Amino acid sequence: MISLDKVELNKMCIIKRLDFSDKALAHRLMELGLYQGVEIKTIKRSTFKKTLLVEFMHSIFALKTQTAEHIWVECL
Amino acid sequence: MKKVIIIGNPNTGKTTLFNSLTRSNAHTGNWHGVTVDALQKVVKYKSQEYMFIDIPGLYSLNYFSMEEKVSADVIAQNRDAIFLYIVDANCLERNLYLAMQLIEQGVQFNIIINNYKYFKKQGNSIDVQKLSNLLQRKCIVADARKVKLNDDILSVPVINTHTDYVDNLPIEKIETILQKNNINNTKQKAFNILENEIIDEKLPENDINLIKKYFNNYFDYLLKCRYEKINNICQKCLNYRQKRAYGESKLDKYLLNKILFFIIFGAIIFSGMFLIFFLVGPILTDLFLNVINFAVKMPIMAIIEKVTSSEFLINFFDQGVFSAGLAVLGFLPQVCLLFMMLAVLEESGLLSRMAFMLDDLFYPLGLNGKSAYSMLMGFGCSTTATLTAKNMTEKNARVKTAILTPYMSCSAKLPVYSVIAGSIFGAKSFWVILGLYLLGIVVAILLAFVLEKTILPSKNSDFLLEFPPMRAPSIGQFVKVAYTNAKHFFVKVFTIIFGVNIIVWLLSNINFSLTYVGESGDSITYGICRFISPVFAPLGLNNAYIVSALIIGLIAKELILSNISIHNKVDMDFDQIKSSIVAVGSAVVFTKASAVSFLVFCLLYSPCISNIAVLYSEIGKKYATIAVVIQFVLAYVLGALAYALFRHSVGYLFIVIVCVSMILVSLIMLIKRAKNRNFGACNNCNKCKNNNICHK
Repeated sequence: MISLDKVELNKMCIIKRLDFSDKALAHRLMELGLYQGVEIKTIKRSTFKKTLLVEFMHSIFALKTQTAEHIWVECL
Repeated sequence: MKKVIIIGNPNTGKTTLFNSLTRSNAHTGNWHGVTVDALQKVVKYKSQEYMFIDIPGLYSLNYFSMEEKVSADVIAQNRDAIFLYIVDANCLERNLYLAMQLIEQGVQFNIIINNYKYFKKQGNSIDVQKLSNLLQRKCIVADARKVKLNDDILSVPVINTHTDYVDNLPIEKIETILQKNNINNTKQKAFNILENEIIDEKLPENDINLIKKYFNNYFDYLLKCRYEKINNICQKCLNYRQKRAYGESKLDKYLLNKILFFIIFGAIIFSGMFLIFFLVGPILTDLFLNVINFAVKMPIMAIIEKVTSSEFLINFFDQGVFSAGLAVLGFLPQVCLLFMMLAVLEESGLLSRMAFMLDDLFYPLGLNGKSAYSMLMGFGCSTTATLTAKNMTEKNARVKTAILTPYMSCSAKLPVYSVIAGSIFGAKSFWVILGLYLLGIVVAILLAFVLEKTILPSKNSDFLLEFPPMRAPSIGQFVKVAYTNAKHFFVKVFTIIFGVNIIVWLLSNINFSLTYVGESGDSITYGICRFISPVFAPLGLNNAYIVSALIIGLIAKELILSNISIHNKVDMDFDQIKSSIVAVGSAVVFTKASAVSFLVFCLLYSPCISNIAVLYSEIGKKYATIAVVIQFVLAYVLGALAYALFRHSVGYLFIVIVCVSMILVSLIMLIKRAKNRNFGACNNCNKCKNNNICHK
């Protein structure tokens, strides 16, 4: 299991758990579909790698790398 | 009157649907969070009046930002309304989460499935009838851009849906406690309390403790149940063959490239500006002005001159009404072009790419990519752009964005730049105008840095942005943008600008005994402004009429130009205005140095009173006051610096730099003191800004 920010680009993974201290952010991510068992793929890193583009549930979202650090995944 | 409320996730087409159903022209965009406040319009259909309400998009009733709170509140307070729940067929799965929450709470709504054509084109399909049966809500496939008001949309069948997984939840028990304390909208609040384990309501301690007994991590339970149900529904009625994710584009290969991105965006912005200020804009402006002159001004003035021989009345209509007002109206083509350029960025989906690529650069400033949207919109209208900061979740980043947005030079300043820079710098005026736009950006960056290090340090700013698909803006959208902004500009010119111009002309042509004196040293304006004008001497603007133009410019920046034309008694011909401000003997006259300081001052001081009002309402009294004070201090200081630089006076420049440094150091020290004294932070720790409770 590794955190999402460390996953190679274009690799499909499955979300295993979210370990946020910020409950509101965790809830929001889960409501958007980032919950256990969902498939996720990293697409692109921004210029200085502070932001990450990910694909899940047929949609693309940009999120902070520091947010991705708290999303634990298992790569397929 | 029956209310019809349009709800849904961000960027699903709510405002587009609102526009189609109400025949409105509300601002839309291919970006999440364009609508930041509820829009309303009353429409008569089959002799019944309906009030249509378009609310900001929300992903869930557990609101996460201010704009989501607005929407959640509207939904809670209008349970008897007709709800139209719009979903994007391409993101149906995610869009159904909010629908589940609404169904659990017994909200009745129709589902409008938008963007189905694109979805089908990708080889996908939805069994709409099955979806409707499973959700127990009427589902209608409709293109939000083309749909017309009909009975099918407005008739919402009342179906009491039973959601078995909420049976075991202590919702009713919490509702009883809330009702006992006279709290409204108890159902939605009870769900919020159970899911978030946060009690926002003011309740007696006994009741709080009672509610807390029911806390049992219901969020995870409800999330699981909702998504299980959604997955079940989607498996039964969604045929998904699409390989590419919604929002992915072939162009992203270039647009999200670290180097190409800056080249492409730089080229778009530069060519747009070149087109507006140099190539097409001035030609259209001259043409437009000539048409107005021949078609409107000359015939009306001929009639007035026939009817009366009074010098006062002829001058009043000639200078006070026509020349001043129409001089501003002449900029209509350039303003429309500017908004059309912004529309390209907004409608195409480029903005989200820009927000993603710029997020890294904004990070050290305690901002995030979403600020880029507000700031870019600031080039159109500072006031509406300031409102868009609402979609940012982190408070300090939101406040900072609202403070910085007015530094992006708005369209109202465009006529001032064009005329003043054009008359003083001639062919080089394009570079001066471009320099002003860049100066605004540089000042905003430096100010963001100072704010980040002093009163508004960012916490871990969470940046979460949905990527919309790239799409070419249609000609219809261009026409709509041009029409909407032209209409807005016309209304502004014929109301505020004409009204204020008449007052200014009267004040500049009558004395304190209310006798007509013409534009002279006896006028009321001159009498008042000559006392203030020495304050502007370090900027080379020690001129009562220039000061009066700057003061009036606080109402609307376009008024500066009309003010100058009133004081210089010139016709609405731009060449006349331009030549008058360099002619010796004119009331308003500029040198190269004073023109630059004037332009810098115009760029940096408050855009208008409505922007100040929005700042006060959006970020509160304290921060708004700080923002306005900083605007004036920076405008004054940098204006003086620019004046010194362009006068090539080394001694003077040295004095100005010393003074500027002293003012800036004092300002930073003041801000730091304010941080410790007024903003709740103590000297022991830095964590108590929000709740005034020291953590040590």
